[in-house]
Amino acid sequence: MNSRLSIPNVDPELAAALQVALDGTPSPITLDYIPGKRAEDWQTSDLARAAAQARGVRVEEYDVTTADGATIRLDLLSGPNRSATSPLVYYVHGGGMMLGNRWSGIDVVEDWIHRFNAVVASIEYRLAPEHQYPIPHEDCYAGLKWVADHEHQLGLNAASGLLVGTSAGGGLAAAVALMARERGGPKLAGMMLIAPMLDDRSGTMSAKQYGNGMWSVAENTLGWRSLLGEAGHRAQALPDWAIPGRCDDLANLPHAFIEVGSADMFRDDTVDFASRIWRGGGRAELHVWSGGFHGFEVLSHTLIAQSAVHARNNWLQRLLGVPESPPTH
Amino acid sequence: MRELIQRLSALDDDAASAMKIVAHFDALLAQGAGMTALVRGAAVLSGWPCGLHLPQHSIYARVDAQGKSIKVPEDPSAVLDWPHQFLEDGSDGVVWLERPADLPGASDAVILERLAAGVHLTIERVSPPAITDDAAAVEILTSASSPTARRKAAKRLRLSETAMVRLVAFRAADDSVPEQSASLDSEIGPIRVALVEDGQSFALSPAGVGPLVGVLEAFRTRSQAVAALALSSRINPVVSWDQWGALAELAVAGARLTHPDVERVAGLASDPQLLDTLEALAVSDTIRGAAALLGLHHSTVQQRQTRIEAVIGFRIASPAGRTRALVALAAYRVRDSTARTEPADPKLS
Repeated sequence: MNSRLSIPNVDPELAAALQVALDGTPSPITLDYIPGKRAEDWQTSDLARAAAQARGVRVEEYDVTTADGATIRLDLLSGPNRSATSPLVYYVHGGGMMLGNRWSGIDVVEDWIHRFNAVVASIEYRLAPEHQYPIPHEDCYAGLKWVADHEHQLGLNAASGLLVGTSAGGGLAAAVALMARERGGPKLAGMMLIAPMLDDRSGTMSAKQYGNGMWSVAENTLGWRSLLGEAGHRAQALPDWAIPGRCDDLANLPHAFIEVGSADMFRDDTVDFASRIWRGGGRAELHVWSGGFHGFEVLSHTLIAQSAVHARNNWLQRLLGVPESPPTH
Repeated sequence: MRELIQRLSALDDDAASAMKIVAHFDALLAQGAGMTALVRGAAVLSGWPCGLHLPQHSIYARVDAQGKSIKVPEDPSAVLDWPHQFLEDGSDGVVWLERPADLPGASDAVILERLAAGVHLTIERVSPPAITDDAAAVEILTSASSPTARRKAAKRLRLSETAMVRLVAFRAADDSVPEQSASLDSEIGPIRVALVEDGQSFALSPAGVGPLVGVLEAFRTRSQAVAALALSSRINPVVSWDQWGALAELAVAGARLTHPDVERVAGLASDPQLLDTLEALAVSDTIRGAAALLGLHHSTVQQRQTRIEAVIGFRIASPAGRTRALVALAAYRVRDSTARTEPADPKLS
C-alpha cells in the first residue's frame, strides 16, 4: 500500500484518480533514486517537446553565461504571431531542486503561447546536490537577465511579462524576483508561484498534517539540504533571496498569483507568503484549492484542476490586459 | 508528477485495464465523487469524449477526452449512435462514449457499464435538483425507477411513504389534466397519469382509475389504470378497475382473441348510439333503467335493443345475455383503444 494513498481530506475526484495513477510508484524520493528519475524526466520531456512542436510551437535554443562563468541552456518557445509586444513568460521548472529539466511541466505555460501570444523562456538551471546554493539561484537569475537584456533582438516584452514556477521552481522564481529587487534587475509585471517550495524549515501545521503527502517532509528536507549544503547551517545570515520563505520584507515585488492545495505541506508557507506581500503593501492573489495535494493540477481532467487552470488564465488576462484567444487545440 | 495522468489514461485491451477501470470507478464511488466526475473518469480512461443524459433529472453533460465540458448534442437521441448504455432503473437515463465505430474499443463495455452503474448510485446519493416539478415526481412514481427515487418523489409530492393512492389515467390530448400528472406512452397511446390519494376526487373524464395501492407501489398498477381508461365510454366516462372486477382482466385478455361476439360488437361501432345503448342495456336491470341512463324514452331503447340483438345474434334481456354482452363490449373497447395506436400487435401488458 502506497502511503500517499492515505493523504487525508483530499478532493474525491483527485483521490480516486490517484489510487489508479499511483499504482506501483515508488516513494519517497531519495538520493539513490535521482539518476534514474532524471533519465525518466528526459524521456517525458522529449515527448513534451515533440508534442509542443506538433502544436506549432517554435523552439529556439540559446546559451547563457552564468555568474560563475558556466554556460547553460535556455529555450525560447513561441507561436507564429510572436511580436515585439509578446509578453515574456520566464519559466522555472520544478523537481525538488534535484530533479526535472527545462521541459518538465512545460504544459503549464505552453498554453499561453496560444492564448496570449506569449514567448516562453525556460532555463536549464543546474541541479542540487551537485550544484548547491547559490548556483541554481544565480543560473535562474542569469537567464532572466539575459532574456531581458536581449528583448529587442529576441522579439518579446519582458516588462509586461511574468515569472512562473511550480514547486521548487516556484521557490526559485520567488528568489529571482527578490534578486531582481535587490540588484535593480529586470522588472516584470507579475509572478506566478504554483505550490512554491519557499522555506527550508518544514515547521508549519500543514507540514505536520500533510508531511506524508505527494511531497513529503522527508523529501523536502532532502531537497533543501541538497540545495543549501553547508550554507543551510547559517540560513539566517544568507541573503533575502536564498530562502524566500524566511524573508520578512516582501514589498516591491511583481504582482503575485499564488496557488496551493489545502492538502499540500506547503499550504501554510504559501498562505503566509501571500500575507507578507499584502502586509508589505504589494499585490497578491491567493488561491487555496480545497482538497488539492501537491501537484494536483497534473490530474488535468479533474474539475478542481480545471478550475485552477481557469483561475490562472483569468488572472493573466487581468495582468496582461489582453483577452485570451480561444484555445486552438 | 507528470506521469500520473498518463498512467491513468494508458489503457490496453486486457484484463489489467479492466481491473484499472473497475478500480477507478470503485474509488470514485467510495470517495463520493460527483456524477460528472464519473463522466470525466470515463473520458480520461477511454481517451474519448463521454456524456450523460438523465431526462428525469434535467441533467445533460458531455466532456472531451481531457475531461473538459463541451456542448451537448441538441437532439439527445443522436447520442445513441455512439456506444451507449441505459441506466438500469428504467428512467431512460443514458451514458455514452464517442469512439468511432471503426476503431477497436474492447474496454468500452466495461467503462460504460461501470459509468452507468456509478451514475445510478450517485443519483441516489446526491439527490440532485432531480425532481424539478411535480410532473417529474409523478413520472418517477409511475415508472420502475429505484425505490429511493420513488421515496424522494413521494416526498416532493408531500405524500407519506405509507399513503394509499390510486393511479388515474387520462387521455393525453385533454388540456385540462391535473398539473400533478405525467405524460406517458402507453399501450393505448400517449396518456397522462396522476396520483389521487384515497378519498380525494378528481373532475376529469374520461379516466381510468387503478386499484388502491401504497404510493411506492403505484407504478405496478399502471397497466390496470390504462385498461380502465380503455374501458371508459361516453356513458361510463370514469371507469374504475375495482368496479369491473375480474371482467377487466378478461377484457384485457380478450383483446388478444378474436371471438365472433367481439367482432359483432365491433360491427355496431359505426353507429355510436347503438354502442351506447348496448352498454346501457348491459349494465342496467331493465329497459327503463337503460333509458334513464341514456336520457331516452324507453320505447326508443326498446327499438334499438331489437336492432342490436339482430346484429350481435343473441338476446340481452337476461342476466346471462347482459353479462355476455358486457364481456364482448369490454373486450372490444380494450381492443379498439389498443388498435388506435398499435394496429399490428394489439396487447396490454
